[in-house]
Amino acid sequence: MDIKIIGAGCPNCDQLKANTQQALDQLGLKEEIQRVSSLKEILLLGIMDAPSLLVDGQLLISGQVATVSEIKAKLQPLLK
Amino acid sequence: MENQKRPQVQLFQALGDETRLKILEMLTMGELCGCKILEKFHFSQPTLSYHMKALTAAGLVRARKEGKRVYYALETQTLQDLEDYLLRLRQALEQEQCLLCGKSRQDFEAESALTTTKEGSSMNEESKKIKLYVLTGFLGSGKTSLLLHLLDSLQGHKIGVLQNEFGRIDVDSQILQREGVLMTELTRGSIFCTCLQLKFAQALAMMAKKDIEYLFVESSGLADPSNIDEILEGVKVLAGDVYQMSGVICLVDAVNFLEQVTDEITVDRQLKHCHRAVINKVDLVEPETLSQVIETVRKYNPLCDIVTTTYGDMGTAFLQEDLMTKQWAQAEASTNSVDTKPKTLSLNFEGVAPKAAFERFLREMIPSSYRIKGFFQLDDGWQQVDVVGQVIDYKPCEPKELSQLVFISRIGPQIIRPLDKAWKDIVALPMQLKN
Repeated sequence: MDIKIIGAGCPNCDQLKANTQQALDQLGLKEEIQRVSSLKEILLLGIMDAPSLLVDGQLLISGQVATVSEIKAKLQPLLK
Repeated sequence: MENQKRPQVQLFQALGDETRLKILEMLTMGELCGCKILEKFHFSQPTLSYHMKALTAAGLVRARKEGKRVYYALETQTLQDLEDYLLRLRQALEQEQCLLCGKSRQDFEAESALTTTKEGSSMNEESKKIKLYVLTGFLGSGKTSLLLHLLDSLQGHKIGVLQNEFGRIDVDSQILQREGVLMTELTRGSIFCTCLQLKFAQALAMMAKKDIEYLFVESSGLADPSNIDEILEGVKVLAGDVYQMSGVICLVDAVNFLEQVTDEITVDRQLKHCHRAVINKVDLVEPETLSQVIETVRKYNPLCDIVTTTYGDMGTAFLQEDLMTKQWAQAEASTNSVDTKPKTLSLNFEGVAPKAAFERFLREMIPSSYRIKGFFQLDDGWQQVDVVGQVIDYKPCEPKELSQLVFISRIGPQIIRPLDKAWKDIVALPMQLKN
């Protein structure tokens, strides 16, 4: 799984990363989370809001700090 | 070099004629009398002298007078020169060398690769690009007045304004509403703060789609322009290379600057990055203070232009200048992060507030605020309120739906307590505080 947290290093992005990490742990996934913080890279990915969560090229969370359960709910369909 | 004709030019001009070429060809048999030459052509004696004059002037033919007759002969040396010249052309061609400047093909290609990129962006496209100016300056230094003056003097030009405002209500954009001026506003925080860069880049990209010549970005008081390069890179992804960064103009409040500069690192960051420092409100200070201000600005930025002005009117001559040559500091990571973002609070009020009490309340709030501004309905009508330093300014304005004041806190989120208390103690009317 290619998991990217989109955000240029503000506390909101940190929170989304922490929540995503927790969601992965609870789902028993050992995937690495990558951080995309360069403005240019973010825009090249076509993303317009931060913080966001991008999994395998799919934008699961856009411009908000989602909770652990929200993230889990979005991740689960991708596991099948 | 171009004024003096080279001998070759005269030579080839002399040769560039059917009749004269024929005469040359005849003269290869040796010296001939003019009368013999004339026999071969169907023109008069004066025409022949005209042609012979051209040939002798070029040094191709020499003339010798014997009585009434003139004898002509080819000048071997000139023919030799001509041959040498053609030989040099051929040799240079073989060596792929420019005969004019002596440059080799290799050098030329390396150079022209450089100049094409430069010309491609600077000569042809830069003129079509939108000129982007960033206005910075500490809160209350007069950026809005400066913009108003600019918009007035640039009537007839298409101008965009991108505003950044700390408070949620858009005080400045209400003042700046003008016909023909495109306005976009980003609220909540500094545009150079990392979490807002995305929105800023998008706003710039959106502005670029409009047909404008100049874009002025008013970055609110504590903004730091050092990340503008990164943001423009982002804009390139969205809208192409549409902006030409044309200068950062930093407004300095002559009255409050010496006080502000001691405790605000942002002021010195802004000065460090600006290309022109505009010292405003110089009519309100003594000459000694002004020279102290100028000296202090110089300390932070030895290179930028320094101009003085009153009421934010700095003219439009700078639009013709290349401010970017006044770059002093390199771009570096912005000091604005979420943590240093000043806390803002807005106060909403319905009804009419007594001016005397309102002003006492403002005075009470001055120590804990960097800046207070907004629109308020007072007992002498609707007023635009502006508090900078110890000065409270009122200006009559159009009625609004609601009275609103924005406080930019000097003491962080705690400002809510003294604010709430001061209002209850002094004005004692219902109001709402909003983040």
